[in-house]
Amino acid sequence: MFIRTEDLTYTYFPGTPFAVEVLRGVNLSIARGSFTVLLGPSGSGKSTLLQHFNGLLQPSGGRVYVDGEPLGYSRRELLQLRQKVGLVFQEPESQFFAETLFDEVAFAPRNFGLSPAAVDKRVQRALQLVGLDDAAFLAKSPFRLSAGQQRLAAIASVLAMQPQALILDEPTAGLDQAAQDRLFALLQELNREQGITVIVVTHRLEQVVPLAHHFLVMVEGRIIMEGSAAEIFSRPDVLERCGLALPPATRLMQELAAAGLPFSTAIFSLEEARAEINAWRERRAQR
Amino acid sequence: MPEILLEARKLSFTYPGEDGESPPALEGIDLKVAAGEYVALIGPNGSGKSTLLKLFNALLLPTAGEVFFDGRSTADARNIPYIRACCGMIFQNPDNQIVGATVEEDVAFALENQALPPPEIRRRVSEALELLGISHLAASPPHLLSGGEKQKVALAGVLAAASRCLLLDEPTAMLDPAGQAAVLETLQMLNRQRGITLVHVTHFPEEAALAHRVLVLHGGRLVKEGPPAEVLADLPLLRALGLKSTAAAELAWLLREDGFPLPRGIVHNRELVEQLCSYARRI
Repeated sequence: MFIRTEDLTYTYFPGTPFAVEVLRGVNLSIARGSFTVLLGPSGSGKSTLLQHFNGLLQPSGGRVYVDGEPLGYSRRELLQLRQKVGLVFQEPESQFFAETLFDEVAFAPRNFGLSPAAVDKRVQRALQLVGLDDAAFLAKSPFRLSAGQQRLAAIASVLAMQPQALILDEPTAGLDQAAQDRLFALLQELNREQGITVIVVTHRLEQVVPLAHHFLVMVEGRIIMEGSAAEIFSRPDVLERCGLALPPATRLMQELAAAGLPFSTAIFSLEEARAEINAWRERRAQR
Repeated sequence: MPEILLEARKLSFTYPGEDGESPPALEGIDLKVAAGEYVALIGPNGSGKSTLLKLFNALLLPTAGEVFFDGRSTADARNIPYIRACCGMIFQNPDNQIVGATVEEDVAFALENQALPPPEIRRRVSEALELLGISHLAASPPHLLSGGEKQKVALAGVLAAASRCLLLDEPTAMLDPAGQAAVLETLQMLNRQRGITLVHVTHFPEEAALAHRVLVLHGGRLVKEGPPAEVLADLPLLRALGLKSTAAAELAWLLREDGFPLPRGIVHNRELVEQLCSYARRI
């Protein structure tokens, strides 16, 4: 297991009248090299949980393990942890500050004290991974990139730490279809080709379902369901009660099945739906 | 002819400071939106959707051409307070437009700026909160609300200022499915019951399908407009622009390619359900 939590609890503003217990005993395991999707309504504690994985928040109770070791919170330990586990916040491009794309992506490697040559190499590699390695980009202000390119550049600045795990909080918000497709293709490549453990919080299921190995459903600070897509989406009642959506293809097949048509509802993509309906049509034609 | 509320005539806009070679953000837009209409605006990132919204309520002024709200040009500075009061903007991230320490104070912000008498402000705020079903949150601090609730607070603030028209820039992009559903339901209620005109920028084809009319922007130009059944069923156009349609439209297109006898214009799930059920009865 790469990331594991044991009875993890977290309370904001403890000991004050504003105390809110956001994590209420989270137990989870995330395998090395896996692609995990964390689902849950807003306010369920997803972002709070993610911030425990790279030590931005310290548990109020319980433990977090990364790579088999319980997390320590000294400056040195945190520095090491953050090279292992990279976190991409919501709207990460709002944190841009540097004058050029190169300086933006070089910020973390420089802070880790790498030599200029090593920094150069890290930046090139990270930008190559996200497809922004055209020399013309390097001297460009990150603020002058398109929305999709900005998101990719923000991810590159985390990849420049060469993390073993990449965690992304709502990475597609505000991106158009083409940019979303590019982003998920990147995550798939990082996971399958580079062996990076990927953990994504997203509400947009249609693209992520075919990529993911493992789903966690979080409600009110607890993991209430986990498993494969088939296991999770076979319980639409639970998902609906939690304010979560089904993949659009699954919803469509459920509406067809509810109208009396003999279709499976364990279908998560339009291609699967197409095959299911065509097979039905052939069976009817043969009668 | 219905009353025209918003109009763009030969509208072009170039962001200041851009070198001469960069293309204008919008070019040659001619467009009319009727009072009470619900218009969806789709297109890739950078196609000019947000720029067009900002031109509609005079946050930006045209480089060439003109924009009219209720017959008044945004070029005349004397019209701007009227236009801004009638034509409110809702952004993607409600955190960017919430300023009050409580929901009530936030919703009252624009009204206080308009120097309305306090009893009038109180009346309008409680009306707006009631309309959006968030009266129980009046005393809550906005930062402790969910995303969907915050977006309703932002809508209440704009509506309390007596907006007849809402300009919505991806209002559900930051919300979870429940928050998204709640905001979409609210928008439809405002349009149908209150006759509020909506111009809704979205990346979600399922949202565009709710509108009366869909406009497609690409490279700063209006490349297609029509009812959802026409625009969202035009898969070749959408694909050429890197856009997708609704799940029902995409699936109907794939099935038609496979020789399934389906008519054009399927956009909503219920339409595909009807077609497949009628096929099952016939064959």
